[in-house]
Amino acid sequence: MTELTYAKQEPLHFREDGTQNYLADGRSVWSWLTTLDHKRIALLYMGTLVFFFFIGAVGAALVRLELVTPAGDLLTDEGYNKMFTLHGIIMVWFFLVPAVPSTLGNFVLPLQLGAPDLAFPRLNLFSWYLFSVSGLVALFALIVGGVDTGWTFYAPLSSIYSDSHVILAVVAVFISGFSTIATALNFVVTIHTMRAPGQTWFRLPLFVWSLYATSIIMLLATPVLAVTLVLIAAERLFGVGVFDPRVGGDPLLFQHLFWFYSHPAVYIMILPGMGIVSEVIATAARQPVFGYRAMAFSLVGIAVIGFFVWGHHMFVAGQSMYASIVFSLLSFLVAIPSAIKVFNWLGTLYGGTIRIDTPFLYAAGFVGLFTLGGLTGLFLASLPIDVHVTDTYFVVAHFHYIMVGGMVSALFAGIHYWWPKISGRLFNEQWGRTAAILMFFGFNLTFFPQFIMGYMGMPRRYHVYPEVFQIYHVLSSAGAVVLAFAYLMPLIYLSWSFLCGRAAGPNPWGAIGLEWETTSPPPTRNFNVRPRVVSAPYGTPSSTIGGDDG
Amino acid sequence: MADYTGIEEQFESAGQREYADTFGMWIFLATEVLFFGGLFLAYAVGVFNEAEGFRLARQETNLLLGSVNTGLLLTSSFVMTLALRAAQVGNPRPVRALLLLCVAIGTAFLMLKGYEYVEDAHKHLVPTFAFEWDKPHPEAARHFFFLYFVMTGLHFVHLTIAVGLAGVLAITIPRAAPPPGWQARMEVTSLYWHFVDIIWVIFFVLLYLGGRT
Amino acid sequence: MKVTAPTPLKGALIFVGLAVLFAAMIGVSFVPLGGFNLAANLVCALLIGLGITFGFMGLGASARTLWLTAAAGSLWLVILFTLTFADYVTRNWLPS
Repeated sequence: MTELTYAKQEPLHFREDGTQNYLADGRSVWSWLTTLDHKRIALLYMGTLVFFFFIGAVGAALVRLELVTPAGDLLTDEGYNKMFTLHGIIMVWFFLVPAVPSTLGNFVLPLQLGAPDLAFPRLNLFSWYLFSVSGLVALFALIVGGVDTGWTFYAPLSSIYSDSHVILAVVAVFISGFSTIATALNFVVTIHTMRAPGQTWFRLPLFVWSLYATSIIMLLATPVLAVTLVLIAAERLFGVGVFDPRVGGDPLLFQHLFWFYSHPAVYIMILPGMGIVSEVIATAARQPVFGYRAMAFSLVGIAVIGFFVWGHHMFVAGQSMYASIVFSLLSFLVAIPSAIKVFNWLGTLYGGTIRIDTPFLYAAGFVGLFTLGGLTGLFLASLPIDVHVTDTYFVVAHFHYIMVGGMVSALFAGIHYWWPKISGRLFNEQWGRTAAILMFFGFNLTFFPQFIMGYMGMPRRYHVYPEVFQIYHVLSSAGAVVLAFAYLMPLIYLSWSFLCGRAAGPNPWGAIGLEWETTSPPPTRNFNVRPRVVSAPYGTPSSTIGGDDG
Repeated sequence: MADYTGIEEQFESAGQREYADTFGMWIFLATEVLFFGGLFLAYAVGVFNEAEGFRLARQETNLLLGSVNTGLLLTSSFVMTLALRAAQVGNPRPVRALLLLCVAIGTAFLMLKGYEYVEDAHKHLVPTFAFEWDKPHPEAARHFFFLYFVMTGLHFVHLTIAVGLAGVLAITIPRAAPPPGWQARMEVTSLYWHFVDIIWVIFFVLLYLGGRT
Repeated sequence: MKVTAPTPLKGALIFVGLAVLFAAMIGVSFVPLGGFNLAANLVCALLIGLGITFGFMGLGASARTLWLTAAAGSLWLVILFTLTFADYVTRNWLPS
């Protein structure tokens, strides 16, 4: 099979056939700020998200530093509340939700469809501006004093009692929601209307399926969050509202509305990662994805079932016990499509000649960490265990295994996998593998102790704690240092690769898929000839670059 | 930059572009259903907890103004279909006048609604400033009027946007030789307009009718 | 251009239908029906909404995908209501 092709270094910007690549198509800042090219907008998003990732990481760093000792000696009570709120709000809405769809999804989706762009390029650029404005509003809220409600904005703390800058934060999240909706709408219309000739629904790569499922969740869940935030802001302005028990309102209504969005939002964060991992594993194993249709249906299945389980966040909140039982049973259902995915990834690897490259290391990390996060989710879905571990570090560890261990690993897998396509350059494999392994160990060192101390009773959102938990907190903080190094490494060697790396050629991994049929980096209109798809994905080479037979 | 603008070239045909525009608007309207759905849910929970208080509070909204406004919006929807019909059969001449008529009706609605807000304030029905209630269930009434202002306020914003869209469309479409894609813009605008109308009809039931027997 | 808007005559007939429904909706709210007033009003509003959706917005004549999109929005609203009220309705069932 194809080995990594180390083509002779060639000048990046003018290719033999005379087509310009998208990076060279206008170099002024203005040309970037007004670009309608999905690939450039993806890079704009990527830069913005890296920025917010580091802001959110600063919040996490201060939290972990504070927790090294049992006494509250670094931050005041209020300062600590504001730090974990900052970490939560920034990481959820300004990093994780758009992390894959707006960056890799934006870049790869039209390429995988053999299309020249998304259906609405101007809307795409507009969504980036909306996102940037919302991010600036969030930063402004943090600079003028911060928010202390936690990322969940629970009423009545957020609607009546908190005297921090809740309205600003709410406005920021509201605007970012519209950016999300714009991206999702663009993706759905694009997938429906712009597939290459011959590319039927079951010839779509799984990454496209995952973006489709993610977009459905974004479209159906985000508006409910938006209106909930409006109600919170209005309640602060009017001094009374629907979440106010003094006038017959119900604080739990906030949790119903909020989790109707925020539980599916967990799947917004994880589904695109599953798509990436499917691509990477198929390429690494040099085999078709095992059970392709089951993989596609399970993506959509997770998206739909995800809307029926939100009450498991409210088991101890005062929700009716009967509703809790129903939500508990429904929550277990999510395990079925999730397990299908894990087994099918293993099935894809079975009997393959696996090439252990950097993207595969990250993807393998994803499968393991996602499985652990998913299985502990079953603990939390069962009522008696949830009552024991609610609001402890067990929950914190659980969702970090999904979102950081799962999603961030998958994001790095995707960035490394498509990096040669994005930049046209190869990166240093040794550095890449080192960073991937370091990230896996750093992650487990940070978060596995949290399972143990959470099960022992360490509550979340406390910065003063009994000494018995200190050893676990010290281990966790030490792991966070390792993790921080592992996150910084790709920034360095990928920057190096972008400036000085060897040219990658169109298909350095020997992968199958339309995005590998065009040059690296692709020309502005992606393909010089519209590709036609003649067979299922992953199996046999999926396209012929031939004349468009119209 | 290269010589293409990237706006139209991603599509292969005008039909594909029109379909994409219409589909995009329907998706947006589906998201709007859930946006307003959160308000419906909040209202339903309010009724569930405070049925009698909500019934008494509904009697205080101005049924006459609400009915006139509902009639106005239903009429505007009919006018909008006439405009769309003309556009779709390729007859751009009456489109501008019909759109301007929609804008006029929509503006009349907004002005009447504004007048109604002033009246509500004089009746001390704004839940925050000097709220006064001499009937039973004053808390439930405040709850109701919180929802009244949030729901009608959000609808007000939506209708303002719809009026703006229709107005821009009316101004930018020349009577002869309209630009390519204008029919799709016309259809998208009309879809949004009708949707805002439907939402109002439901709000009318929840906020004005009921408790009148 | 696909024609989705009704002819002026058909549109006028739909408009008259909507006006009748509207009048019926206001009228029925003055008839004492107890708890059924709200239900009767909502049925009228639903019919008006369907009349606009299918008569004016042309959903009936549209591609299946558009129909599915509208259905998804409505169905998800049903999910939101059903599961939330599964909580409210059963909250006081547990004997204290």
